[in-house]
Amino acid sequence: MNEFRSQQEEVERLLSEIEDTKDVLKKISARLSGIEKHVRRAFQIPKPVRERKAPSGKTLSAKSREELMTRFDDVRNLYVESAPWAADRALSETPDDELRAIAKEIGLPDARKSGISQLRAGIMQKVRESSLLGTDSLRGAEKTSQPTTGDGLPVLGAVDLAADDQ
Amino acid sequence: MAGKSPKTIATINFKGGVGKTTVTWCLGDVVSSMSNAKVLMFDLDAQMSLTQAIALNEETGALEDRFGAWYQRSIQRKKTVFDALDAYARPTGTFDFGTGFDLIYKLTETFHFVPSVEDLYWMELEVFDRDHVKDFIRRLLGKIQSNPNLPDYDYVLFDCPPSFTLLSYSVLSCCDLVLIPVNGDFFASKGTSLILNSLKMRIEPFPLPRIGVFMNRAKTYGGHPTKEAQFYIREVERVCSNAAATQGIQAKFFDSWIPDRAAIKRAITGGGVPADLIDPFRRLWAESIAYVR
Repeated sequence: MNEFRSQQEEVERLLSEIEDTKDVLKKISARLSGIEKHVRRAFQIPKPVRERKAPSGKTLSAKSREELMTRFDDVRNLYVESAPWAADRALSETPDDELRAIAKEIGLPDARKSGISQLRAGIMQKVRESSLLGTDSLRGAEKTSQPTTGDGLPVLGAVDLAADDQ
Repeated sequence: MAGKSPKTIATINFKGGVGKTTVTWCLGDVVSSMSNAKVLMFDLDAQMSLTQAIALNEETGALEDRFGAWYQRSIQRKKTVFDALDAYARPTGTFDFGTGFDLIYKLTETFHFVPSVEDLYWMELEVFDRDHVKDFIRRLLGKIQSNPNLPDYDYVLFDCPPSFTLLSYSVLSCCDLVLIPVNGDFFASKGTSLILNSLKMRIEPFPLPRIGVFMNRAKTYGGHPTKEAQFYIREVERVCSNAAATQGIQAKFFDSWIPDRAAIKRAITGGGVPADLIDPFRRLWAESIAYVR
């Protein structure tokens, strides 16, 4: 004979027992994690790195990572060798999916969700960083007619000291 | 020490906070404890981060008794690295300075340490002959090497300040390897670029040591560097090969990298090298030594 008066009552009791069992399992799991942590620390056993799926080389566009990074290099070279506007134009002529894929490959956050103009600005920022890393110093970017030594410092005596007296 | 020359490795980056001190200590700890190699480590940074981290007792927050007492004695007896430099720079022309365990502190049987002192802060204000000081570390190591009461060190590590001080000048003029940790950000990468593109002309006429650059504190995802970390790895690798080609220097970007772990902050003050960083540091060491062998 069924102890429950209705089917509804039986289901509620079952659900409640399931909840209780889940709580017990959670407590057991927490206790086991604590013991594992203690043992690992005591015996210097590193926590195994959870291997995720290795990067497949598949990107947001049909192009591979290498192709996308080569495209990024091309834009940087335009920035350095031609002018910033040339790099900007090259980016604006790049298809959206490719732009998104480049943004993802250079580590811009939210490359999938951000708007295209935001992505383009982010990529240009990385282009500027990359070009600055390639120069010896900020002085290297300046156009100056002042004579310099091998390390870019002004040659002594070349500075117009008389200008200070004016 | 007998006649065998130790391999000398200096950790430097003109950007502060990239992990020079922690890397130096972790390498020394891993190597001395796992291979029985005898390691001597210098703290040449006036900020004394390494010295203070070693001295800091995690339990009480005070100077560890043993080190504290030793350190005070060392200062009183004028046996610090600054006193050594002072003795070396005297106009007498002779370097009259005894090296022993009042200059060198035993962290463990195989891991020894020359701490920094506050006087190094003011060192640049003293009138030292730059060209003369350039040879100071080489001469000091010679003294340590020829002292029969000191061990035969296999490796000497230097924690350098994030600037080109007289002492870093002296270290870089004589070491076998310059190890440059870089982080996954623009400023740390730029610090690397500055060193690579200007070190040679500062060190000449001494031959430039080999330079090894590696990614430190790389952010990871699933056990691999994140895309952003990979971007900077690629950028710094490019800077390295460009510098090697244009400056005629031996600069290499290492395959080894050290992942970012919060536990590393407590490594020196008592936590030890985090268990999951021991292998990355071993790999970094193996690559460094293979490069200078």
